[in-house]
Amino acid sequence: MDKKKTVVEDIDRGLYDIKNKDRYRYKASKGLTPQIVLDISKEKNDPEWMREFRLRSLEIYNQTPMPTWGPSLHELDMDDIVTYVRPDTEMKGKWQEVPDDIKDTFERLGIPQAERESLAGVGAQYDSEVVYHSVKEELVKQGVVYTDMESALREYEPMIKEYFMKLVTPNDHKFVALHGAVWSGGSFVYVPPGVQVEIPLQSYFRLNSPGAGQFEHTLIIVDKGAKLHFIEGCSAPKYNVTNLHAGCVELYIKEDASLRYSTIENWSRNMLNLNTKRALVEKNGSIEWVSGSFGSKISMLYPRSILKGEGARADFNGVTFAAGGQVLDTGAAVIHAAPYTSSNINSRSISKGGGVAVYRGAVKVAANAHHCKSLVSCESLMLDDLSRSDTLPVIDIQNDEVDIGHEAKIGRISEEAIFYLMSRGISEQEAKAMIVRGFAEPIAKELPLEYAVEMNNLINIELEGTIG
Amino acid sequence: MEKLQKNLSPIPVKTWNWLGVNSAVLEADIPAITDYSKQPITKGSEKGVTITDIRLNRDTIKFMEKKMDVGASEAMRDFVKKNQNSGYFIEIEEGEKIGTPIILQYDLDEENPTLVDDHFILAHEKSEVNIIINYTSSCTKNGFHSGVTKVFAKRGAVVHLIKVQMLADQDTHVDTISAITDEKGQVDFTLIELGALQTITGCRTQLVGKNSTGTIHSLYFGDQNRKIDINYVQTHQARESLSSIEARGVLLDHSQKVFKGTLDFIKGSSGSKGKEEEYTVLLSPTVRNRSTPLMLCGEDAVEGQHAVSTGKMDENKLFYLMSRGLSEVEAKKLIIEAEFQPILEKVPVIELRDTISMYLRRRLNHV
Repeated sequence: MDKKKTVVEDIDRGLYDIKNKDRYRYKASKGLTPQIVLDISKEKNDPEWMREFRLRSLEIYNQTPMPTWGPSLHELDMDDIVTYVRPDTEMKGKWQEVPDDIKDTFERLGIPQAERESLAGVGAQYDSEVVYHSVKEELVKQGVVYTDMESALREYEPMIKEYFMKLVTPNDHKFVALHGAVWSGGSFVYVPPGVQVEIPLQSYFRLNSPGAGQFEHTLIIVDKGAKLHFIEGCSAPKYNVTNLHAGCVELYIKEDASLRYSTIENWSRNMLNLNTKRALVEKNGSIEWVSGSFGSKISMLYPRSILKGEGARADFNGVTFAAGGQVLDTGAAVIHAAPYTSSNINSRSISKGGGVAVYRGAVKVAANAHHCKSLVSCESLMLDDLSRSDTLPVIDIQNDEVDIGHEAKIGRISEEAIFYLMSRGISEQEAKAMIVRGFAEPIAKELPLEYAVEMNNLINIELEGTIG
Repeated sequence: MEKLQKNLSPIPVKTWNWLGVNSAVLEADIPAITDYSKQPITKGSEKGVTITDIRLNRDTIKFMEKKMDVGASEAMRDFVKKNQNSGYFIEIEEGEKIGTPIILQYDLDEENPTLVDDHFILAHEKSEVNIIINYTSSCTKNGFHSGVTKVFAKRGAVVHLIKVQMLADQDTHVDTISAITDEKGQVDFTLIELGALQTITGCRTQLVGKNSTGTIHSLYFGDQNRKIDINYVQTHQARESLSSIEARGVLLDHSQKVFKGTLDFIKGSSGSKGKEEEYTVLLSPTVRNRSTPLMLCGEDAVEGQHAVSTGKMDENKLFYLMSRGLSEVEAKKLIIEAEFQPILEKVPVIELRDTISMYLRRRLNHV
């Protein structure tokens, strides 16, 4: 009898690795100096306050030491990174007008197709700027704003000034200071009070230029009683030089509002992904993070939720898959800063072929945040003895009216489970793939269907040739 | 001195600095170390055991010490070695099972306000021993204890070490245990931290021999302004080694605690199992409770798990006891005592167990 292959069809990893010619209208010089920051600011036509903000951030960057914890970033040499590459096109509102090579890349990644089938709006960023943005007419009528950050800075300046980098300030850490100095691109979303955006909005980030950095800024405000699901996807072709991604995501969730923020990250294996994401949740609001980390050489990514209002809630569901040569240091942090808040963190990590998967987390309960509940669950699966898997959670509680639980498990695929599946006529390879998919299932089920399929495909690609 | 007081008892892998768990800082100044003139050994002249001044055995233990973890910090290890005012080399002969526990009783007082003790316990093949080290104090102000205890359990040897700390309210306590186990060796630690204003304590076991075992049962009690920093590390370096950490504690008033527990599976430790559990009961709205249960894994064929649970006292239990006529304070005391009982039972001397219970009851009076 022929052996059955894996259940979900494999996809060609090659599509993520397609390189276009490095075509740009403006490309900043390598490195980081006040002049380069001023040049970027001028090129972007920043208002005065933004220019000053950039220069102040650069100062902070220069004064802030590298992190003393986490993976080694010794290979990052800012003198080799190009911080700003404006693609050779204006932003388009019609897909047909996007230049062919860029359009083809996004077509292959399935972005316009996803837009037609299941999205309320889409933004596509190529290198440092957004090249395509569209949003469904009915949302515009309801007052929903979904645009690129550059346009937002012109059209909604007072709102941007009020919120931009107020939640994640340049003093937070070195790479967010860097972001403050050289940020470009990204999306701005505003959902007015009571508006329920039932179908998701999506931004896709593609870094084509070799040796470049991407520093997009995503700012989302979900006003009172409103609801939104936002999806971001990231990829880049593989080059032999280091690329850097130091984006920043700031999410403001007002009273009774809810936001689901999903990410499938598949950066190429030469990318240092040092991204900062944070949500501020007000009374009875909720944030739900769904996160799949597959790509990059090194990732340091820990979405932080600050539960500021009574009854606010945070959920985090994340899966991390570290293959050979990757150090994926991911996790989540929740700050309970008000009474009756609750959080639920569910993390799964898989490591194979010498990959290093780290769960780093924190749950902090402030002195005034009585009657909080938090449950953290981390599970790690090791597929061989070349890999590493570390779990580093911290719980900090400053009052006694709390109910906090944490549990973690580590281990390999159970031989009994494989034996059972094989006794049912399933091949060993398929049995293992099935178990790994089952392990990631609690996260996959939180994703929209087509992303869950993409995640399963990524898992299958990762598993090819390594097990069985 | 300043260098000595910082970066104490670091966790094996650092995390965010803003959480304040990467290492501990000793708040009190380290006083000038004077002689400790009392005789601490109350029981121990059994057949099969040799107890001698550690200074006479430096050459014997030098080689073994080299392999051992430095403990709280390199600076503190050197400080203890240099300033040591008490310390014993306890050697158990091969195959000897010592029935009666060996007891070392240290009591700080006005004449002996500082203690720096350095011990080495060497259990030869297939021997077994119970050792109790008890620290108490009647100092009226700022007693200071810093110490290192090293344990080497050779092939098939079993060492039960019980450390009880009931120092006075203004005292400082910095204590480290470093242990190594050979094949089928076993180290079993019961660590009871109840007194002192600031406690920084650690226990690091290196399971070097296959089929070796390391267990830690820990109990802590924080009230008033006490600060407790606990750092346990179980390192699995050999195949089929077993480890467990079980910690239980109660915090009230303005007390603060940082519990750090690490299970570290080094590559090559296949078939090993590790388990860690921590239960903390919080009894005041002003406490601060931090837990850092780390699991580090470089080997796939292992099983590791940890669980932490923190919260108020079980209200159903409280309600039940009060419905039986107990006052709220009495009911709470009973629940806490019951919580501690499984660990107190590890203390093999009934008199000492009773002393600890009495001490706890007295401290619980204002719950």
